[in-house]
Order: sequence, then C-alpha cells, then structure tokens
Amino acid sequence: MANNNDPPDRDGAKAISPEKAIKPTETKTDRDTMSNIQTAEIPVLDRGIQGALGRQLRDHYNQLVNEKVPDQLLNLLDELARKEHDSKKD
Amino acid sequence: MDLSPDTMRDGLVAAMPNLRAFAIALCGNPHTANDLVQETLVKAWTHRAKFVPGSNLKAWLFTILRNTYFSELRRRRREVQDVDGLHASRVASAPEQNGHADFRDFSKALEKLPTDQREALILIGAEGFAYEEAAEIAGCAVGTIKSRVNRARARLVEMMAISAEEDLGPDGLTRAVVGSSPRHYG
Repeated sequence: MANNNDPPDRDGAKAISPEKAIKPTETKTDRDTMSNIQTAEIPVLDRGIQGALGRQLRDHYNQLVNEKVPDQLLNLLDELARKEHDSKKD
Repeated sequence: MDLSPDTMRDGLVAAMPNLRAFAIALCGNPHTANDLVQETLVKAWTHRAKFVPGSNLKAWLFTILRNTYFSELRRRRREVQDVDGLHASRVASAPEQNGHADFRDFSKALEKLPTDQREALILIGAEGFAYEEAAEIAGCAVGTIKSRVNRARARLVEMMAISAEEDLGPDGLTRAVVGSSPRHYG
C-alpha cells in the first residue's frame, strides 16, 4: 500500500487490458478513453471525434447498402414462391 | 394472422440491400455474405408464419442473419480445431499482424474489431436501431450493446490515431483525433 507511487485516483490503470499493456506508447486520449469505458454510459469520445467516426461508418456502410443486389438473390424469392405453389398443386 | 406471401415477399426484397451490407460487414467477404443472405431469405420465407405482423421485419431478418452467421462460425471453429497447429504459424506471420499500416483505411480498421463489437457498432451507428432493438437482435443485455459500441468506437479511434501518427495521410477523422491541421504534401 505505502510503496505504491501512483495516486489511486484512476480506475483505468488497474483495469488495463493485457492488449493495452503491451502497447509501446500510450497517449493521453487512450488513457482517457480507457478510463471512461469503465464507467459505462458516459460518452466515451469527444463529440467532434464521435461525429467524424459516425460519418465514416455511415459512408462506408451506405456504400455497401447501395451495391447492386445480385440477381441470384432477387430470383431466389420467385423460386421459393414457385416451389411452394407447385408443391401445393401436387 | 399471418402476413400474406406478397407482403412478406415485398418486405424481403426491401430489406435485401441492408441484409447484404450487414452480412458483408459481419463476415468481410461478399461471396460468403451472399450465401448468408440467401440462407436468411430461405429461413425467413419458410418460417414466415413465425413473424409477428406489426413487429419490425428488418429486426427479425437481422436476427436470423446474425444467428445463422454466428452458429456457422462456431461450427467452423470446432471443425478447424484439429488443424489449428498447422494454421497458427501462417497466421502469426501474416502481414496484417505487423505494424499499423493497414489502418489507413476505415474499412480495414472496422475489420480489425472483434465481431461482437463490429456487430453492435453497425446495428447502432450505421443501421440506426435503438439500443433495445440491437440488444434483442444480438441476444444480449442493453448494457452489453452499449459497452460494445463504446469499446468499438474507442478502438477505432485508437487505430485511426495510430495510422495518423505514422503519416498515412490524415483524413477528416484522423485529423480530428490527433488535433492537427491537414498536411500539405509536395
């Protein structure tokens, strides 16, 4: 207890993940972010950063949404309906 | 009362682009994603009597898709256990394990996230599901979704910040993260 040099004012240092521990450099942002994660619902990131991140995520995802759906998938529903129809006739 | 086949069909067609995007984001491979969507559509069509009319069809379909994906993933992991030793050496020397050069690209950084975090981030941040809906889709507590999203965001920012430090061409996000102005090259 007495030989602990760090003031026990942050949970972050204690709860640090092994992944973190092997990282050579730790920036202020990393440390702040990590300690915020421990306290669940508090917004983790600065609003500007979170906004930029959200835009990148939506841009990336919308590109995927806007890709053409392969015919194979579009035709599948017709096939399913036809099979069902045929099996009812039998 | 069941949804009419036509209504279900229209709903499936409308949801297809999003199902496919979600599948690609989960498994990282368009071919596997198409198979996954196909399997989801067949299940949804076959079991359409189980859908509660008036509830959220997209959420129902997303649930089927992610459950299909994760049970397939578990099955594959069991199967490859025998040859794990063989793969280990190759995986360890894969270039993506070295340095941070891969993270110049947002999608690369996204791929590096643990699957459960990526799933939560996509459901909330890209699809715009409510936390409660996302928790129902992923079959976990609302608090778990929130913490996965927070961890995903923190990890992404960390990865993007690292690539900015290594001068891999700052963009909007990395500039915001490292707090510097755009660099002018040349």
